[in-house]
Amino acid sequence: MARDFQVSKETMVFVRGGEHLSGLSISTCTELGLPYKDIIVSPRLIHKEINVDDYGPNIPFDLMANLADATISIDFIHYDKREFELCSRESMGGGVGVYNPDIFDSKVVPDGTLAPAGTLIGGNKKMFASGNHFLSLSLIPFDYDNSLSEEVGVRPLRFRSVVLVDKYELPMGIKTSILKTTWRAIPYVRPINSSLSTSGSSTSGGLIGRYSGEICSSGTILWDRNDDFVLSG
Amino acid sequence: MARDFFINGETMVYVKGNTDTPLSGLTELGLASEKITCTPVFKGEDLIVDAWGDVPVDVQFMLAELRVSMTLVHIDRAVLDIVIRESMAGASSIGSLPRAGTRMGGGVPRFVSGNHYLGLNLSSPVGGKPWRFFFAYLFDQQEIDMGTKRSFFVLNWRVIPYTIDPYNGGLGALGTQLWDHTLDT
Repeated sequence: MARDFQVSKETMVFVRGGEHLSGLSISTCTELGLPYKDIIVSPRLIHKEINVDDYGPNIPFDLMANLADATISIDFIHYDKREFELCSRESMGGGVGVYNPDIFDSKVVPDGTLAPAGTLIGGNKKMFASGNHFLSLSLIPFDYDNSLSEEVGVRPLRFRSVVLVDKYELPMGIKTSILKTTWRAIPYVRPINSSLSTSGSSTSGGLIGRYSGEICSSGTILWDRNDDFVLSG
Repeated sequence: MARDFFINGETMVYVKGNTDTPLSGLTELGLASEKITCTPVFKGEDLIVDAWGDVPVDVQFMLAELRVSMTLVHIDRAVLDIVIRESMAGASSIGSLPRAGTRMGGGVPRFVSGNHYLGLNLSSPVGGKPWRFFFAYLFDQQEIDMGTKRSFFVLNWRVIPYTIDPYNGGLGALGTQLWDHTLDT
């Protein structure tokens, strides 16, 4: 793409959660809201220095790429309060109890309910499986056209596994509330589900030489340029 | 169109409000003592690059609003009172206040109960180019004379591109009407 001013245009924030939210719109790709100002996406690239004596104590002779995570800061002004409450609960480990779409605001899962300390957000399950509380966050420009090539069209930005982190601010008063949120995206991947044959190669999962339960970072995705409208894993 | 002097003519100011008001049809507000001034305010964001110094290399159009100022001298006071009440987000009586933070548009369409924006219409009997401002309200300061001489009513209006859903099916503000040249009915 030639040099140009980069205008990402009006962006709608979509969110999608796991199958345990079945019956609620968040179990499919649903609108969360519109931002008040720029959405700030901050990938954090992690490197480990490799030092050798010949290079002195301060400058590495090489670096190891040690994955990355990302922080997404969004101030919502026109948003779906109910969907956001679900995002909040999922980010708190999913709370306890059962989600019932017919009695969503009931005492079954009171707002602010915490999951037990130490609850795994991913729960060793694949994305969108029941019990995986990570959310998929999609930032989609208004005139997104997925028929155009990446070099031509305005592409979305999708983070496959995010949670709300730190604190969010929900003002309460007579003025329009601006909901300030911070999300963290990590390259979540579930442990490999394969068994090792007697020859030392995997009998399923197609990953040679991997042990069942191993967590492999190769090929994990922090973000991509697709959307969740087509329900895929 | 060929060049010519443009004469708008005797301009009647009409207003139309939501169905909860007596202004549910196009209603005369009054005649001005002098010219009525329409001031479109275009918003833009400069694109600055270091290579271009302090002057923008391009500008992003960030929508527009509009101001209309008029001094009415031959006026329907009852209609004006309703205009003032609606401009105060539907005050229950003249001089009273609604709850602080009440939305003017109320999240409902034009002229529906709860939407307090007014349709401000200016006739054009000579020029043939009337103005219709879709979402107008009195804002900032107004002036009302009181004395033995005829009173002048200085009214300042603001017109914004109100919408219910800023997402607009993915189109954003595209197609949102700020004004046109057809009167309300």
